[in-house]
Amino acid sequence: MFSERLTGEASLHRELEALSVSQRLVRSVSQKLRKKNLRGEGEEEDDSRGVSLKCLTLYGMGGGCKVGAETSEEFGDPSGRRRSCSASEEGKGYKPVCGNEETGLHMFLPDDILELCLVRLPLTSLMNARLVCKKWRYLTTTPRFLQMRREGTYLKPWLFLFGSVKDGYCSGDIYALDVSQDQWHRLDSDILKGRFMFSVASIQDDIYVVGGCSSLTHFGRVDRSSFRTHKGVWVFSPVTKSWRKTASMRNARSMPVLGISEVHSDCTVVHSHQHRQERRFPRSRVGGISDVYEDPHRLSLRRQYRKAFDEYEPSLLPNRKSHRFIRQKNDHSNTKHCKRFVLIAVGGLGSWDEPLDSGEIYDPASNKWTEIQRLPMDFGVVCSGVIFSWCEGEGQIGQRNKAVRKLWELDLMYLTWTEVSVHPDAPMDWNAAFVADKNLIFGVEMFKIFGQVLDFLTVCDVSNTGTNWSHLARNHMTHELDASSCMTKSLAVLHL
Amino acid sequence: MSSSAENPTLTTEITKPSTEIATETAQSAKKINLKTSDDQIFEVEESVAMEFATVKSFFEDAPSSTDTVPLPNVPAKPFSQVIEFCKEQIKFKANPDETEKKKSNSEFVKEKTNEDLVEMIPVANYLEIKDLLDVLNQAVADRIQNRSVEYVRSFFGIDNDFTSEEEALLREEHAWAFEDVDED
Repeated sequence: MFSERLTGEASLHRELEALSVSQRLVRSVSQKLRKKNLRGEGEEEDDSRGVSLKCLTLYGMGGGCKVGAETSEEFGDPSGRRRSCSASEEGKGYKPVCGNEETGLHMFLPDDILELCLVRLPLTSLMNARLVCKKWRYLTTTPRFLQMRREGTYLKPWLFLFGSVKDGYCSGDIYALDVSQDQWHRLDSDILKGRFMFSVASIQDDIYVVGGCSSLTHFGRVDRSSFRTHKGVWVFSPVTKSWRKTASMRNARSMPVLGISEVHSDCTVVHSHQHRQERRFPRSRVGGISDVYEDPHRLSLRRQYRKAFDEYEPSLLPNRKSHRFIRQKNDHSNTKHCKRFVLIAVGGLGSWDEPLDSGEIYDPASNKWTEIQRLPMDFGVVCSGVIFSWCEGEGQIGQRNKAVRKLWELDLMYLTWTEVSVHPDAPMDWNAAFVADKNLIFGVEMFKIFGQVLDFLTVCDVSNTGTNWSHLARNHMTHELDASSCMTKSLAVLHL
Repeated sequence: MSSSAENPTLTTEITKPSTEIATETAQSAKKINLKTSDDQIFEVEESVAMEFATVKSFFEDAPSSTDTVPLPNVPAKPFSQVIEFCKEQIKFKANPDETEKKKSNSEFVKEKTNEDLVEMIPVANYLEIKDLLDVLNQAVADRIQNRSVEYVRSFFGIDNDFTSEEEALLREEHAWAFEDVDED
């Protein structure tokens, strides 16, 4: 608007200067003039105003009838008209006239339009809006509204840091970083009290907390000598801060590798174990991944979030229909009203701390876990990083594996790995957690130094050609945590 | 009231040249008359009027119909601002420059009062000007973002219809989200 005013004035200046009108007058009239240009000269047709037009055009000195008519309205008309003319010129200066609208303003916005506004609020402000009045609370909690919010570009990433240990106890506290606002929030949760070594994965608005251990003899402590490994799976919904329990896994697991796959809503995962095939892994990955870390065993149990299945599915299971749908994500998300996801848990440690080579799939629709084929014998060293896929150009699927320090890219066409990016920081945390989210990879490293546990959050955008890591969150949230949090921590990303 | 009665003589004295200028431009491009709910008639260049999907379809349905299009749901004041926005947008149509467009859009909303914004939204919606609707909705969302519940209520002039117990309970539930609200 400002620029238009400028250009408008500039041209007026020129023309009016030619007529030797003083600059001061030009300024005072230019806005009127602009209005006039917008408004047009149609007033003559308006019968209802005929009288005032005629008498006031006298001001116009002959040729000026039209603008004269325009200005005259402001004097000759009832207040409603005057407001509409003048307030638009000088928006802020008209409180008295506008004041009476202030109270009825919400009546002015129909619900469907109000929704369009509220849907753009970031989560915290939205929760605020739910306290405004009952109608707003209703409007902002309908499934339709929530779906609109999901489908728009209004969701912002939130990082959820699990597994904090404080004063020797697994406090269950969850630290949430609102990335766009750079703000930490702490959520307490009784359910996670005493649990450690669980894995987390996010599906839409929910975080699945899978498996884990709790101490048998020292409740709440991180106890590796006598503990129980859980089959249980909890679902945490940060938006409502609520928990619900879902079906338990078939096997107890601690730190299983979790993956999320999007599926057709009519797809079933039941037959996914039927196809057994020789797996042809791109074995080169093994050497590439663990070049910093000595302990391949532990690496093998590290998390692999989001589409864990993608890694082996395309290369080794070409005719496995039940998972092929991942490819057609974009085609189908439009036709299906709600997306469906399945959760895949692979490996981890069993009840006796033995490494597991089994895997299972959870389908939220049937609330059931189904076993899938075991990992091949040489699977021991995979899954150190984060795998995710995205579409490129003509539907070619790329995949990238985030090695702990180096970012490797797996080209599915040729099944080769290339190094994409190197994390700039010196590795301080052997147990760094990474999670992939669309084109972003988030990482957290925690370590104890000078008596404080520090957390460093970094993010890498792999959609750019120059993939660089940058730091998130200026404040450390974990000062008061115990050093063992570094080991038990896990990370999930939600778009809220 | 007083502010609208600004120097009648002064204004009218120099209307003559300005009218001529306006008439000249009026001849150069096709104009469309749009009549607002409060019976004001705006003469708008065709290119601008075609930004309004509602008006556009009106002409598509009946190409050679009346020369004045009634807009029964559109009051003059927000409409004039909407026109202002669309004129600006047209420049970017010929010469797309996303950063400049963003800048211009944010300038546009920056100068508007809360009331202006809220008044323009139904107009933009009725006229189906998607760009403007996006800009306005985002602007309103930005203005109530990170503000206290009380501020949002007064912004929209909404009365709190929760009982104090209900509100306390809801606040408790969402407590983690309410840190660090901006000053009202």
